Amino acid sequence: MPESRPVAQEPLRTPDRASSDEAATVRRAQLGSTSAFDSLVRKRGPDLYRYLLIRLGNESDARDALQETIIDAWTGLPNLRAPESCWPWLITIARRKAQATTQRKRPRVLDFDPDLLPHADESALEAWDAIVRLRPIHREILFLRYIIGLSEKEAADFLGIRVGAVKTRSLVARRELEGVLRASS
Amino acid sequence: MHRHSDDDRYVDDALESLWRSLPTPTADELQGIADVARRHPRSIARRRTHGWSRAVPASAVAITLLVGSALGFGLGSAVTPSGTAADTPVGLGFLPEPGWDVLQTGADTTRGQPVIAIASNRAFAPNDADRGMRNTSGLPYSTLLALPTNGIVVVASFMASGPPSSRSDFYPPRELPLSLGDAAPWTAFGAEVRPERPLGQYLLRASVYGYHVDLQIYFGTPRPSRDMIEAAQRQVDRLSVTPQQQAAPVYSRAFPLRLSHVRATEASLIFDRTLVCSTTYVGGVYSIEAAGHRGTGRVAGAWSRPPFATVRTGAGASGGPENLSILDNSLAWITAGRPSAGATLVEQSVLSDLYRTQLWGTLAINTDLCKNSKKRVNLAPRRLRGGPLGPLEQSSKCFAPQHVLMRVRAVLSGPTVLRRFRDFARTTAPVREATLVIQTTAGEQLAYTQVFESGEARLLTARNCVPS
Repeated sequence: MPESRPVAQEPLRTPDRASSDEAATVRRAQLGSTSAFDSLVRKRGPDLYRYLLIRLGNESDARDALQETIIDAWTGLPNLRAPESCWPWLITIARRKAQATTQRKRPRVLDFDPDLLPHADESALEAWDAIVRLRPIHREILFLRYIIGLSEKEAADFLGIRVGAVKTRSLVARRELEGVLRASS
Repeated sequence: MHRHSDDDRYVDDALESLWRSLPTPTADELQGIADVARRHPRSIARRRTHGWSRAVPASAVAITLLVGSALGFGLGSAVTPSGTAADTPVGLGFLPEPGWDVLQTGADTTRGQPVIAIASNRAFAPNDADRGMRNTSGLPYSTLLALPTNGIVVVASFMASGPPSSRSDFYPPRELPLSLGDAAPWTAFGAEVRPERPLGQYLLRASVYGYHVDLQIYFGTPRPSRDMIEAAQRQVDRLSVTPQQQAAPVYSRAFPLRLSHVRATEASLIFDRTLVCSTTYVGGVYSIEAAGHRGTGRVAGAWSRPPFATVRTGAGASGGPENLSILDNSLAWITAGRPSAGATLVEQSVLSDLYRTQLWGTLAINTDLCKNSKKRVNLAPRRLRGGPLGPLEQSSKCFAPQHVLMRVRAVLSGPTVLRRFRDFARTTAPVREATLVIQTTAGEQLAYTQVFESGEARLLTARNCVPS
């Protein structure tokens, strides 16, 4: 006679999970939670919009690109394998949308447009003026590293360059920006 | 890492000042953007309409499995052989974790058609994955028999929940991701899959986005380690349940079986239709069951128990009318004569009153399992055995192929059209006489049954069928 033992009788003990964690929100959105997705859009939408605004230089294009970014995020979320990498992933989508927009239109230099900053103070306007004078690769690395908050590794993945190149480019960009700011003040 | 000198702070402040001064969309605008995005379909797993195949982590494979669960019963059902919409996104199932295999159905769930998804951190046994069967009991039996100690199998079944009913009490509302902490030790009917080397068997039930979800978790050991539980939880975290659209109940909405044939102006005294139907794979075989009884209790020309015949497939089930029911496995049923107001189609159940003939229909075709066919089915019985039916139900079970041809011919008491009721097209008009024939696509008859308004009924089945 085979030995017959009772099956497990104890409830399963699962690890604690912080519900406030963005990865958990992303995971729920991946699984179809509309409220989680809305929450994600509310949290990350403003920064995505700012990024697009700086990349594209006008509100109309930025708004369109944001909508397209969020659509892609919704449809692509189930395929995102690392929920904790959602923010770099979103920025990557936004960047792709911005590139598509600029390719559709005639490429242009990002001009200083005070209308974009209706509530800007003096220092913000100076910073804007300085930023647009930077070379695009320096402008971008500054945004990615010091405003959007990507790590060196994430920025390297995002730009398709080595981590060492990110470090170098960041350093040079900061020096360049600092120089422009000091010169203008 | 950059240096935090005064120069650095100067640059950081400038950047932050710029960032903060940039305008952003309002909360309402962001909500509008999210709403627009959510109207777009998501690509989760692609629907497959034919056959099983192995899934690799990068691509979930669609299969069609059948399991109902009513009060803990495993129930086989069948699948519509639609062959359409192969690229339609499927929103019910698992997104596989790295190292996990997933098998899942591509069919839409209905009250009689559960969707099943199975995930395992071990390769599926060929019996479970490669037999080319679209229907199964939903128990990956061979895989479980060979499951190593650190193996995990998670089976999820989804049923459209429908309006609230007593069954809903078994499925408490839960949020995704489901937590295994809510799972309870469970064995169906006290039956262990592998008594000689017991598995850890757990059940978690939830009501999620309009679905009743049964999550059965099998561990290769009765006492799974913390790592195993966490691994299972990670896979359960990737359970996807796309919200079911809030549509009007379909079972009370009238619509024709085929527009060109059943417009009111084309209502006919004669109903004659040939269909191809899916059968259900249960216990290792596809099978049908033909059953019926003669009429009894005729008062003032109305039968309290009209002559009745049906052909069903899969296991029986119990449940309220809003859920999986005793009749949902029927490919078709026929009655004859005028039913009384209290006549029912099912009487052995305590719920028989729910199956009133005037509600469920005097003649019905399962439109979920059957589709119109242009094949020919002879109405004369050939090489069958059987005879008149008695007052008690008699039934006979037959092995069947995955698809069978069914012809239903009925003479009705007045011009009528079939109307939608649950997964059936049915009429409530009295039937004078009706014939129901089942045969294989190769032409071999399996069952032949007739009912007459006089109360008589007869059933003939193939020689390899057995009384059940």
